[in-house]
Amino acid sequence: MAPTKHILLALVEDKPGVLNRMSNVFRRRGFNIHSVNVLETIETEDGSRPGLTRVAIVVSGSAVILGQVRKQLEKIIDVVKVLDITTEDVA
Amino acid sequence: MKLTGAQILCEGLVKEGVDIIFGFPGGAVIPLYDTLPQYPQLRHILVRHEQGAAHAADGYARATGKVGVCFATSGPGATNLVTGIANAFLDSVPVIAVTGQVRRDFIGRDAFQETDITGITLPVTKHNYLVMDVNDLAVVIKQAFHLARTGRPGPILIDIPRDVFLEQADFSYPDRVDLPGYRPTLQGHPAQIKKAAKMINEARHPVIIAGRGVNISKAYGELKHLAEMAQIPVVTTLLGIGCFPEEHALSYGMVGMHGMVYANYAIENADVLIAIGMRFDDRVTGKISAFAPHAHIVHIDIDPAEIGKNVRVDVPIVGDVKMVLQALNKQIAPVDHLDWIGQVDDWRREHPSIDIRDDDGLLPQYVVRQIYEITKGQAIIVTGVGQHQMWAAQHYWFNKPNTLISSGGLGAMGFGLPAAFGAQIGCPDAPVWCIDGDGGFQMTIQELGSIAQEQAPVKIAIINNGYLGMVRQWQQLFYKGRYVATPISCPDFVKVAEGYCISALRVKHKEEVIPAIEQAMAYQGPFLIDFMVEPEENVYPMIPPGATVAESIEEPKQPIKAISDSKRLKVSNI
Repeated sequence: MAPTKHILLALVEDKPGVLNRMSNVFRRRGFNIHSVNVLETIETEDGSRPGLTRVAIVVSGSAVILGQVRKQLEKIIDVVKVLDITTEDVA
Repeated sequence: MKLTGAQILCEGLVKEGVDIIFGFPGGAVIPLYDTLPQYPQLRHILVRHEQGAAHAADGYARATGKVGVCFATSGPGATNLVTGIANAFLDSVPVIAVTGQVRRDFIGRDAFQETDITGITLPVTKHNYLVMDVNDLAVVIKQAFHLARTGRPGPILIDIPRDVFLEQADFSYPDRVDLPGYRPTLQGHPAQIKKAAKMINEARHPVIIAGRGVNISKAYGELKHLAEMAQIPVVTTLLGIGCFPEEHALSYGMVGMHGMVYANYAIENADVLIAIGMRFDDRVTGKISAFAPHAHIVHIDIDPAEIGKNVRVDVPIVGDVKMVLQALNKQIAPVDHLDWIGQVDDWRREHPSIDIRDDDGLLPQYVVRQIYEITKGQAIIVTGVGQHQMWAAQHYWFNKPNTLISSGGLGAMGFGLPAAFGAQIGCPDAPVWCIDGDGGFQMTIQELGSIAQEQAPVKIAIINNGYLGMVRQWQQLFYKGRYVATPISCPDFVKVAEGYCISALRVKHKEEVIPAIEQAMAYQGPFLIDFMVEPEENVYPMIPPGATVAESIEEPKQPIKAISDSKRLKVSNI
């Protein structure tokens, strides 16, 4: 399957080393990260859980492998959730 | 009340039910060790090398079902733990490793005995912590134990700077954890379970392949119920051995590279494969594209990242094996699969993979079988890695869970002796046998000192063939017999043991095997037997790496002629 560009959006705990833990998953599977965007600490909708951070990562790879990578990212204890928010017009 | 960091750690360990710690002191952890006498309920057991501490904690955890704990100092102490931590990670064993770190103001400056151990162990721990504030310590300990023993268990490393051990903080132990990113799914999805039940109920040639997840989840009863009700043959992975009694009529033994030919045939011909608490390791599947080619696969595992990782799965069910099987069993109708079971039994008759040939020589398989006979299958068997490990898996029949303790995923030679020590410390009244090779035994031979100091009554059987036997076997079969770097000399193991005040015997002939094992069993303390077995015996059956079941190599009618004169290397004649 041809590699395509994907945007993964992760909600993570604001702790030292989280980015290292995440990039390690990509490194191990041999992915080049095109860009990483770490957004400021936000509060969730109900304001009950401050201290979470959003990380947006652009990588290219096959959908199957990236699906696996997404699950491996979600295994990281400090990572709360990972979404693949890729849409058609990302190329 | 204010406590020091070291006291907080000890309080936490006590609260988590820890009573045994395997460790080795050093500069950064002197404050921690200095605190230990205040906590007599924590028994510290000194090892001879930190790798031994990690493996002992691992063996202890597998044998007892509790969390294993090990201590090491900063720098080399911490790095020496790494193999043991990686081993626990790959085999999903709950281990807590506590390492000392240099003072906070020295971190990052290449201080004496500083290593970035959280960086080093990041890919081989379930999670790790560097505790920079003593006020965080109690929460970290609570989280670490929770993470180690729940979901898919695994090792957790806690790195604590020397000055954090000394600093004081108010102590209150949390009664719950707050980990928004950690919520293991326990109950399987009802729709998936329904799909799986339908598939199983309609199957004509079903096979269950059970792994360590069944042991971890203690789903023995549920597995047995499913297998008996729907008449499904059960095969296991190496680490699944014991989760289903191997003397049960529906047990067809281990699968994979050195698995039973009939077990592999069953998988090859299955129409529904129910994979429970296992992860389709390449030593299980062989060539992936040819694995279970006719089967619809149901995969039950607590780790969502295992689903679809190695093989395509038709019905994935993420959840705790016990809970999923409880729900699944309610929807399984009793059926008759006598034709299919008869077929697998025919394969077993045609390919009796575990017959031991009649031979006057001292065969390693015979040694294992006699240990089985004399211990009546009731021992905890701990192995190293290599040929002897496969012979132990094949020729000892395990009817009780967690009685085979072996390094599966990492395949770490040197695991045997320290893990057996840990298992014996955890189960002081159980017969524990360490079956090891002469190569791997030399990797952690120093733990004889720990065994002697504690007088742990481990029985040690060295399957001594004078080779790094598994590699030699590959060289013989796939590298035209070029035995590069595999002949290995050994010290006189009997004298070494005696040097540690451990009783020992050498066995050179078949007729000495039974009396020697009986003598070891009757002896109160640790006992070592050096079995000088046939040097070029191979492990069969074998599916060559990357090959298919059809390409299985079975034991030749005539043993392959030894291609070297197999003169053992001796220390004295090098």
